[in-house]
Amino acid sequence: MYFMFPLGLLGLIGIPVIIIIYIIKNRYTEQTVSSTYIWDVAERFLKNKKPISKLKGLLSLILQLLAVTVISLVIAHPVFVLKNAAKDFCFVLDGSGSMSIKVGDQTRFEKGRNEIKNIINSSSDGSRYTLVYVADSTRVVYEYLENKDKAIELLDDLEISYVQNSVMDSVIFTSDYFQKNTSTEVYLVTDKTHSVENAQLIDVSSDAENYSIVEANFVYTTNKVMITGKSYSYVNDADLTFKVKMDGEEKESTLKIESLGMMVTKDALHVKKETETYFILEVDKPEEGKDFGELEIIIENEDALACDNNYKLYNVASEHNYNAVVVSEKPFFIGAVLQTVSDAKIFVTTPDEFNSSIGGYDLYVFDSCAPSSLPKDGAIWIFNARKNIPNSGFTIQEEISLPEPSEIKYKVSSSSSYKRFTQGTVGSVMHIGGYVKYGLYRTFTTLLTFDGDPVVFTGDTASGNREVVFSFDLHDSDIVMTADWLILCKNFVNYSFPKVIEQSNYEVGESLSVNVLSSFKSIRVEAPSGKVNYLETNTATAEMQLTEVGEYVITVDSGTSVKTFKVWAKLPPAEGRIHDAGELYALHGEKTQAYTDGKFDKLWIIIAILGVVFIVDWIIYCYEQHQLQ
Amino acid sequence: MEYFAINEEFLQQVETLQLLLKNNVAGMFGGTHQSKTFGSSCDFADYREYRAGDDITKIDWNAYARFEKLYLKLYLDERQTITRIYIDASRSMNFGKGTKAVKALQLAATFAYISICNMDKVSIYVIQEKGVETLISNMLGKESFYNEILKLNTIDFEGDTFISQSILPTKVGYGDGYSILISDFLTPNDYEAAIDLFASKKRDIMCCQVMSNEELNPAQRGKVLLFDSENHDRTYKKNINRDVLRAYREAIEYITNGMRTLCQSRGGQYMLVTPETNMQELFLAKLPEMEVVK
Repeated sequence: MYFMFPLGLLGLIGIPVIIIIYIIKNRYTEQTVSSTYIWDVAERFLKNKKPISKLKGLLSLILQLLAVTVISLVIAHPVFVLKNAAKDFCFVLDGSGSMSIKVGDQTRFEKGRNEIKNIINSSSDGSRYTLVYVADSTRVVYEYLENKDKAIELLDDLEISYVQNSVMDSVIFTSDYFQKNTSTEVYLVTDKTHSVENAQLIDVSSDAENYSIVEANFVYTTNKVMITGKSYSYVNDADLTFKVKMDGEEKESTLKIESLGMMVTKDALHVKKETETYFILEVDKPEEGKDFGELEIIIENEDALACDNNYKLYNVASEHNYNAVVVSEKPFFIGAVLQTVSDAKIFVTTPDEFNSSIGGYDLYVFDSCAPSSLPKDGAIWIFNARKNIPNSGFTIQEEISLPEPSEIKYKVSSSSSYKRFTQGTVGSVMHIGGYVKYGLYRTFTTLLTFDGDPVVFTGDTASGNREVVFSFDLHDSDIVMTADWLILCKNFVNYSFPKVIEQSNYEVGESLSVNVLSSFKSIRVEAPSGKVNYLETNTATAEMQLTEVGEYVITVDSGTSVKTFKVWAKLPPAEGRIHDAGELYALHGEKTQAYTDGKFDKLWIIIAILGVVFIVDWIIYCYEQHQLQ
Repeated sequence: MEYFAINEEFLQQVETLQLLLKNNVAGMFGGTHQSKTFGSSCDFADYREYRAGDDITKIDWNAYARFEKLYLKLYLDERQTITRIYIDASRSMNFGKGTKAVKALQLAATFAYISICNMDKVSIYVIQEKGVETLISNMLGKESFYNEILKLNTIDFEGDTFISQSILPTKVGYGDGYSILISDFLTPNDYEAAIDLFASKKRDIMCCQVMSNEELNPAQRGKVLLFDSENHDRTYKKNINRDVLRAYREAIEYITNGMRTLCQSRGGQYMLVTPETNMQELFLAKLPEMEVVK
């Protein structure tokens, strides 16, 4: 035994002090009475005392000494050593998606966690615990932790990740611990049937059934929405039935499968085990003029893993709805190209009708005109501006008329933004008849030049909106006739109307990608569990790894408007397997049994309780004495 | 030191009382106590035939006329008794505020006065250590009472008391009245032999146990070393707690019950008196109820 805080024993100095005080204060008071006869007779009536009651006279002193001793011991915190009882434990806990398969009332993950708790609780104090958690990544949660409660608390804090991962990734960690101490007890807690060497496998797998929707998509037909998908049964053949929800409301659906080149309507889909089976579900389109936001396909059959029984599809077009206004006397070219390369609603107005106070558009196109001030709430395309526009980033230096059509050329650049704008171009030969020489006073990415002068360049306005500038008149150029015109405009549209979410269906473990506009103030991502993350806004693309199965809601605040997007993360199909063979989990070396001394330091609790009992007893005794006075 | 003063008003209230004797009175001279022998009182007792030498004035001539035989008319005799009052003059009787001594002397004076009023003689004795001192001898008549009773104030309450050893060698009389013993009886020394002696001498016995409030309800608590006021060699060392106090109360009950039983078994009377006991109530209510006086 040793004391964790030996200075606490200084409290024992109180013992001789109490004894001295007791001797000084607790003397017999001498008094004279008329006769001691009655007192002598009273002795006969005093009940025979048990030997222990002879200590009663010293009770006060004994209790005080005990109280001082107990308090001193509690402060000193005694720790008792148990020879060779303590071990080093290293747990590897599988937190991959398959661990969420149910085993009775609990999941495999919960079962595994309880197994670890039992081992920790039954181990000797003084043992050390290390936990390696294999989830979305493999990480050491704690190492050589001696505090049991803390070890269990941190274990409880772990949450399952639905990412596909393998406990084999943890070998590098456990090998290290095992090499440091070859007596380390390594436990592998997983539902994969690994063979082990110098480790113990805690197999939490169980027999169960699991069905899943592997993938799905939708297309419009004449008056239907046709959902195509693949379903899977992991253990046995099954007849699966489905239901479909459109924007949360259950819709009547028709199940069809292809048989002998014919589409046949069925009540249930027969799925052979471990075979992907195609299905088609048809639901009615929404009413004319309306569109849906999301479709949810659900397997109605019950199984051990519910999270892969449904699948959501999102109508991305409905999420990315933009408005563009073209201010031009001759809007044909621009209107045509916008209709071709974007889904935006296009409005056309003349320069005379356009008022700079007009707002609410996602794109403003000024063709051969110059507004008195630039709108602040949308992207700007400027063609052939022949007057200075405040805050445009350029000034007019000279109008240049070329004697004959001259070729404009792509600027040679390796910058990422340049590559982005010229992506897909084929190097068409383009000519112009004249242009306006602009002096740039802000940073732009120049794409096309003539004689070193920028003729097509992009950048940001002073208010942070995206800006595309053409310094020549489209009507005085053959650019609109080239293949690169459409590609460039497509890139400009993507730049001006960047799709915040490029992809709406992911697999857990993949990274969600969000295109960040300069106007974005915040990007909030709410996971299916309700956890909220905020993504970076000072980068072109914000990413976040998806670790949960289900619907993520992305809310983008651009100051003037708030837009919401949704993506669906499905369980990796491999994680839906009920039985999965593992590899050899081998820790090299020879296992030894050199355990360290265990420690038992819970005694102070008992001592503290005894102390409280003694003190309470003491108080009662003193109260009785007080009453006698 | 003056312990008490004569309370004439109270004495007037008790002067009509009479000590009731239970034993046959063997006294001489005329008193107010009716003897079981025949005498010259007015109370008719019986007839007997005349024998030579009898007083011929006692012959009932009416009976002779009817039976033609001489009969004497017999009357109950009324005799004078001697009330002997013994006062314990140990130090314990006057310890503390001394009210026990005052009450003891008040009792002695009152019993003496009642006896005087009954034409009896009264002797008052002081018991101290192993001896008995006669303080007042054969006091008779009220004038003598008023002259001598204040001698009680001369008693010096000191030392220990050995009641039996003191009384046994003395003349205690025979069947001629009350022996009244006033003491706290808080002594390990024997007093039973003295009471037995009174009983054997056919004396009417009255034991008055005088105890103070401090004795009945002691104030001592905690660790104490108690010295006996009569003898400092007698000590009691104890941590006075609830258990000891409970035993103390039981001891008091044991002592008083023992005294009462002893007196009753000897045909005597017992009463416990405290300094707070009201004398009017005691003599005019309690003692008549006990048939000690009427």
